[in-house]
Amino acid sequence: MRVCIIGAGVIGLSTAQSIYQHFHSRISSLTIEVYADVFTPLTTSDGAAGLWQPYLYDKGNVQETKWNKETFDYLLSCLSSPDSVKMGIFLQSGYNLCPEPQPDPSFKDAVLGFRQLTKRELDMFPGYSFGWFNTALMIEGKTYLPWLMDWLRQRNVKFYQRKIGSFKELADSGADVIINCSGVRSGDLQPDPELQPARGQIIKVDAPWLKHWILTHDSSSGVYNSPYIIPGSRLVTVGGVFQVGNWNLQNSSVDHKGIWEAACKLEPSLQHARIVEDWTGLRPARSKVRLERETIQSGPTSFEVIHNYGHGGFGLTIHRGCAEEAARLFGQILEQKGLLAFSKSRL
Amino acid sequence: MKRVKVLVVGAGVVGLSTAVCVAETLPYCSVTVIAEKFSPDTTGDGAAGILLPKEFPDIPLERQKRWFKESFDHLLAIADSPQASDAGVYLSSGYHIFKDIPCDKKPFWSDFVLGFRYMTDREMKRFPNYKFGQAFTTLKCECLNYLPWLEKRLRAVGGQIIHEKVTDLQKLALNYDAIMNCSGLSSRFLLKDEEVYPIRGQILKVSAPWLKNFIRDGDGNTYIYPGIRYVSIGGTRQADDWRLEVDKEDSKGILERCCRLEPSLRAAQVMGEWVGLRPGRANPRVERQYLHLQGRQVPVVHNYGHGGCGVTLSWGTALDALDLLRQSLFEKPPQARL
Repeated sequence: MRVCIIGAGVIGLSTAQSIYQHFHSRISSLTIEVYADVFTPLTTSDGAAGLWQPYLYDKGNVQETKWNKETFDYLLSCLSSPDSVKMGIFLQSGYNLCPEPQPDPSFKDAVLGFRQLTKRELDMFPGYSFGWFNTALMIEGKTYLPWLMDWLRQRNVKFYQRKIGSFKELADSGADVIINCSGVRSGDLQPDPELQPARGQIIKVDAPWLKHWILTHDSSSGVYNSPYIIPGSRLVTVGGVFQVGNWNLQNSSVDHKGIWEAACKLEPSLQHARIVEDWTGLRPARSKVRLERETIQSGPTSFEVIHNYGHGGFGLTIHRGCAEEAARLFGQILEQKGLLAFSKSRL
Repeated sequence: MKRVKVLVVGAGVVGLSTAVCVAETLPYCSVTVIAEKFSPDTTGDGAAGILLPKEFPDIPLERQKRWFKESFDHLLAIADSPQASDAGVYLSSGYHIFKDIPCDKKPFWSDFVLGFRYMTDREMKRFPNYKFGQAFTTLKCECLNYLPWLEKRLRAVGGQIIHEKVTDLQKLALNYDAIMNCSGLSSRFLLKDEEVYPIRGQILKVSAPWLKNFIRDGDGNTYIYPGIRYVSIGGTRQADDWRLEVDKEDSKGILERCCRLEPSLRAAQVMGEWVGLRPGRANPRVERQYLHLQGRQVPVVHNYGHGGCGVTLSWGTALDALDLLRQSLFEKPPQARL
């Protein structure tokens, strides 16, 4: 059974991990290969600040809320492992600020110690009259992805640096199942009008006295178009913008100025922080995550594709839940092919 | 009007805070700070600087509340300003955990920190040997930044600095109109105050930049305080112990206890160790005395004995000391005793 995963961001690598974990001992020869044109530290996941937090409201996508929570619980359990630092996982508390009262967010029960902000706390943030405080997890792509690759390499997963032109290309070379984790460029493999880049630009600064993340929400400007400040293990990530349809990977000085001014208003101490660099990434935005099977006919035969893309600005937040679901779908394929040594009705 | 010459003895966090309070508030005073030790060699420089008071037995609670509230509000305003990084003052959130449920689950200072609440069951799961916890946001004030920043403020309003060890207050009183005694542990020798005693504290400085929240065991002996340059982990509370050398057994104990609370510390590199002697006393002494010399009554305002709460109470007690000074400059001093 040869599984070919397209994409080596957090989605591709974690899907490889889940598939290995669930099936390497259950089928006789499982080969997992990862194909990608970019690897860490150049993927979208590497540039993300790494704060576990879904969008405020799931718009009825209860599956996504479930996958987000699964990921949080999984990361929380990893905290006590001796590998937590090598995985890039740690706790951090912070503020979600709104200009006016809002209903409770979807993640209120997933995070730790969720509560409303007190008046004295809100006084620190002029312009915001409402918000929440909680402790969440950080998962830094620049550390997590290398850890995942190591984990996978130790288990004989092979990596190939190559841009895949089509699913058929891999199917013709003998792939039994293809897992499409190609993120924002999935459209190159199969047109998807629902998938769009949502360009983000961030500024990395040296401000080690900052120990809380601060996210602002302005429903008029839209998610992530409002300032946010997220301290990491070494540098602080300052953002943001969320420009739908913008494919430009170059840093924009106009965006830099806008982001910096708004962030300094939010956190005056930033004015004396040393700016290290800017970075631009394209979030793979979609109305909802595409996580489903597809059987593709190719002449007389057909091959299986599992799609796992379109995680917008919450890839790190949702990755484990989706990887486990992708593994479940993979299990379905194995069952249908009669490849499982003993049958389980569901994972 | 002739300037009133005020001498502040001590350049630790209490001394400099007191000097700045006087110099900025009373334009008719000229302030001089005299001390043997300055940052980075004061006791406060090694302290983590987390604002967390304790309740003293003999000081009226309202006064203690005032001391803490004024210190907290003063530092919060700095944390919320562009000066924060210069001054080394910023918000710090974390957990205060107890192996046994304390009698006082909601201490007097719970109203003055931010967002005080009890920890949830899920939060307590990380600490299986602990039965109860408090979560809140307080401030961290790092003297390595804060003291030089206070010194700048002092000089900006004409304050003077003298690097010299003080051994005789009476002699100094000849040349000044008022003295503010902020000599910390040295008050034991300077004033022969036997109630002042050292409470030795040792900490390890570790590199663990992924740690953002503090954890403190309610017994005060184990704590993890993430700072700007490193994480301070500790500690010890050894009364009457004057040793300033690092004790390797203490280091071992600190590492063991802290790693149990925060397993990720096992991956942290130890950058150094530090020992400080807290100026212990049953209660801080913030009161006024008079020195009688050569027909003059020189007011001496004492502001020392803050134990492990120096940074925590520095501004509030400085304001109190300022008030005592102000009163004495306008009052008639008591008659000299023969």
